[in-house]
Amino acid sequence: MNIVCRICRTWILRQRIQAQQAQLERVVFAWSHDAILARRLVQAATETVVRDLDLFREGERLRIALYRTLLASFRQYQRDYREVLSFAPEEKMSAARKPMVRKVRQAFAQLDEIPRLIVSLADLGGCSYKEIECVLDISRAELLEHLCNARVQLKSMLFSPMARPQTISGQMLWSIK
Amino acid sequence: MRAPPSSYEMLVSFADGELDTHDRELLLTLLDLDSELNREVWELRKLKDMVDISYQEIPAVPVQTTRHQDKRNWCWQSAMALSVAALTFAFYLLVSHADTLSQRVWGSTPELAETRILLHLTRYDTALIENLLDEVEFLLQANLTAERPIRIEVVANGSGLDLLRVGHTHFAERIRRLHMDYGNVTFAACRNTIERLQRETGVLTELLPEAVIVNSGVVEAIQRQKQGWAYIDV
Repeated sequence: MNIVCRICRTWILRQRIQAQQAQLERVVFAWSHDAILARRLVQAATETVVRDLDLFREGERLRIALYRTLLASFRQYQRDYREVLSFAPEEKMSAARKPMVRKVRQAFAQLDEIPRLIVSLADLGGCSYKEIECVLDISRAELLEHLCNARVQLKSMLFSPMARPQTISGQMLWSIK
Repeated sequence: MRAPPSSYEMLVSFADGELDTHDRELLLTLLDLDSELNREVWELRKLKDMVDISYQEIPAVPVQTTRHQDKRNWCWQSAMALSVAALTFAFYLLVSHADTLSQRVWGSTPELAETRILLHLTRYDTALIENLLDEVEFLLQANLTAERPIRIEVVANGSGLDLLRVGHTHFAERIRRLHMDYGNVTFAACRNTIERLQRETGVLTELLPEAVIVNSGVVEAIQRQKQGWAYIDV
């Protein structure tokens, strides 16, 4: 009976992870800008989480477990291939045809690692602040500090002064209400 | 009386949907009155959308052909696989005998480019571990200063696993700092020990985020030795 339960749980877990696979790959791609690496790490993390089913059986912790496993694998990869791993956005992003996409990815690549992880988990991974705290093992204050700095940095790189609402004699030409 | 949500952190939290109802209401009221705040929020939301859109599509990864599709090319692929296997084997032989060949040609053993040390921890003794972490830090620092590449792996199994267990270790902060300061130190936890603990005590092991899991601490130690790592039993 236990074996049947375990098989069922494993199957359900696999289905739930597969439903998130594209999102997980996007997040890891944002960390590395390497699609093959993203696919490989997500597959490995899936196997790890399924294999350690008993460790991660609480449903609400699945996303945290997945991202923690992905992050550990990514950091391990960085350590093992430090000599050959170069975060070279210009080369790897020549395939991105849209100028905005290219620009955003280049700006993203210039962020430090922790802010980049936080922004990607928040904006791409759909993680709440609480989940990000658990994944990265940081406090709320640290998270907000990194996040605010990252957003300011991204804004300064992506929004040219011309893109901002212009003022004449202190009056806004347009604003969002 | 709560302070009005005027800080940038509040705006960021608002844009991320992380404010509670009270603060959200308060901020919405302020947004009606302050066009500058409005612009900040608009920019934050635009930024989130831009990031989201920019990673909607990632480059396609070549997918291996399925078994069904392989049928027509089965013979050709088998031949290719055999060729690749033969080449891999030849390459393995070449690499595994590279040191011997080099020694024959040059008359001396070439120095390893990188110092690699595996520390095997099998018991949890705070004084011992403190000493171990001091030594690790010293080695890392010395090699960093001298610009000599080094990699250190601490493998924990048995009661040594407590070093990497949340709630059991006294060295979480130290490990975190080492991990942050030096990228070339790894803390590996033995899966066999984790499973045994769970089996015997029913306790789910929660590891520090810096820890990676290896299937077996002993096997990891053996494999690393085969790969030329120095082995130190702590």
